[in-house]
Amino acid sequence: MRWFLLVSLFSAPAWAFPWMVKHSYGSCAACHVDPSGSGQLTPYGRAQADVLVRWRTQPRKDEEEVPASANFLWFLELPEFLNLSGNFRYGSLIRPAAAVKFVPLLMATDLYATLNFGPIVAHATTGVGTYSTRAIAYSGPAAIAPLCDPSKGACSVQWVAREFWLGAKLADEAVMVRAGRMNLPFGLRNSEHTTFVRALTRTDFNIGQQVGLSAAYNSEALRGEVMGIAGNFQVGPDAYRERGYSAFAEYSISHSAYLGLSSLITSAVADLSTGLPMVRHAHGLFARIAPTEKFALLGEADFLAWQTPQQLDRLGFAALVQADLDLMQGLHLMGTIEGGHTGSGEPGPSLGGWLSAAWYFLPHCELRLDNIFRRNSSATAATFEYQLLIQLHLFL
Amino acid sequence: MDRTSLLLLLVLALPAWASDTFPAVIQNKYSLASQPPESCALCHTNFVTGLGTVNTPFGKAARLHGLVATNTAALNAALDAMATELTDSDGDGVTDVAELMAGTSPNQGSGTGGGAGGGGGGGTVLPPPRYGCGASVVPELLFFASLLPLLRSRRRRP
Amino acid sequence: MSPTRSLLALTLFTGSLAFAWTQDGTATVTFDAKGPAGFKIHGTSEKAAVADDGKNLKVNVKLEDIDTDNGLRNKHMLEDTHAKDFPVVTLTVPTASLKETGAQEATGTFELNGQKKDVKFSYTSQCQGSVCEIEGSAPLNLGDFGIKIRSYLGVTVKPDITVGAKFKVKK
Repeated sequence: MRWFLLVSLFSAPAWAFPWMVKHSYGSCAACHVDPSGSGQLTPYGRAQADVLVRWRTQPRKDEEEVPASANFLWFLELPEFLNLSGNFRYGSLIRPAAAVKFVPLLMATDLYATLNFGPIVAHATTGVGTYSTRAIAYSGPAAIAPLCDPSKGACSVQWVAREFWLGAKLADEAVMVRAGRMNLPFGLRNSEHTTFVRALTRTDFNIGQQVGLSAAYNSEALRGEVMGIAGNFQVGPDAYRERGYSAFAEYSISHSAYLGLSSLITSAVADLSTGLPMVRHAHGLFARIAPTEKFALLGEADFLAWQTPQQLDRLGFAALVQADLDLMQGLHLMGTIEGGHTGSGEPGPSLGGWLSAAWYFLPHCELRLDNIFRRNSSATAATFEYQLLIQLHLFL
Repeated sequence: MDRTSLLLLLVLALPAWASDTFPAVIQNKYSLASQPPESCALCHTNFVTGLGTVNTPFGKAARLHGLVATNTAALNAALDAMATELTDSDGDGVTDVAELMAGTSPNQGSGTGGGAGGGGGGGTVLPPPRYGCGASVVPELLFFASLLPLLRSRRRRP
Repeated sequence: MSPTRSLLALTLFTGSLAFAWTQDGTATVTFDAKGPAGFKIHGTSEKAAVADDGKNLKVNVKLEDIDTDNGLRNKHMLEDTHAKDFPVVTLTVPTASLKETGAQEATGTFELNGQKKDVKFSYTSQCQGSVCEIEGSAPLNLGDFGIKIRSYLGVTVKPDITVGAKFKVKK
């Protein structure tokens, strides 16, 4: 089973566009296999990626009923029960103030497969990733990390399997129950990797999958999911596995305004970051608003608490506000402000500002630039850093 | 954040967090000539005190044995338990309590036993986490086993 | 009492909108449709026309003016509603049945795809001076108008939709 090994922690395996609220897509289930969004697209979602997301200089030709790019590898038509797709993301991280100024990142090389047998859905992802010591620093408490020992040199390319679950659609597809390894339902599924809201709540869909049982509900006014977490079985020994629940519910105030609640409580005999028995809380609000068809505002604020059996150990928070502007179809300008505090004696919160641009220059092809300004706060000092992350993303 | 924390703490009616007397308690417990040389840094990383800063190897081991902020009885009980379990937080072969009594650091492998340090606290402290499918193959096997009936039923269809 | 005065007195007494009205400003028409798993479509047009022939208030909108923020979806809408043959959707309401203030219900005739059907709709009317702002909505079943909706890549919109209109009229 070694070939299932998970790595590639500095990775972004999927796209998730909370800003699709601009096009009245409040629910994610029509376009994504995961009923709460992110990851593999359905055939309908692949078509919309061509119709609504890709860059165009000329209006789309109406006679092209189903875009060719809706097929696997842009041309291969598959039987209805089989949905295959892939995800390749390569990044270059430029850190002018760091000792290593240029970090090439093979962020994702995943193959997605979904089998549909009537209401039954089976989904799995697998791929390869490269080891990165930086990943360890990011992941510490995260779901997956390489088995190899970084002190013994670079590790070889290894296999990655983030998701595998079996589900059933019920009640005219309004309800989906799933069992397996999946994303934790919590907050915005924003694709920036990694933001404080995702890292501190450990719900980054790049690395935060856990095994459990979930039920998702999607209607025109309300969507949500609750998941019982049995643990991340790719972390051992068992004492390090978190068990508990994660859930969100989002209400549609109008066709372009949504307000959501998230809640997560997990317990581990030994927390991955402290080694102590720990109950971890994250509870918060998130919102998606599209005042116009060209502009979306996304926001999330989470209260965090860590509790040992004896006492409340730490309090913290994480928050994010993002504005997404369509300069034209397929060309996005995004501004993000974020903050986070781990409650570990920092004199103040860590702060971040992102100025990003995403260009969907061809069907299922994205070129993205992230200018990331960070004030990282620790117990001993606050440091400032600027990073430029350039990504090429192909969604096969 | 400090104000927020303070407000939340007040709301939750939790006790105060300063444990200024702990070094003195250790001094008295073991009849030491002076307080432990590391003082606050015995438990708090880089002398920074406050919520979530008890992260030195010795501090973590003490918390695993029931240490609670400001609670001297809990500190005494934790030290007794660590003495019984021969806890060695820095893995240098000298137990934490012996290092406290000798005036050496239980965090930095400075005991007479030498050693590289960095141990996990000894006694009942867990090994470091392992990652990857080697940690457990059960969920993966269950998942793919569950797919088999689907594939078989598919084949039966004309 | 002259007939005109009689009519005026009757109108004032009943508080109805039985005047000759003309459109004041932009008239907006919307529709909201649903699909599986929370899928929904919001279509809108700000090119609706409101006219009063003295007996009936008519709200007309060309199907080609309705935008769902998705070109392919607009195309499907036009095809499924046979917009080439029946390009205009019309709601006709007897003016006398409309009340001047508050939340009300009334019945009108909805014409779509060349087929007419009486529909009940709810509306609110707020009048200031000679100008009234009216906002209303009605549930419809597209199947009642002979419209069969296609399934596109596994997604089929349900036939039950809600149509709405918002406009100002002046005496």
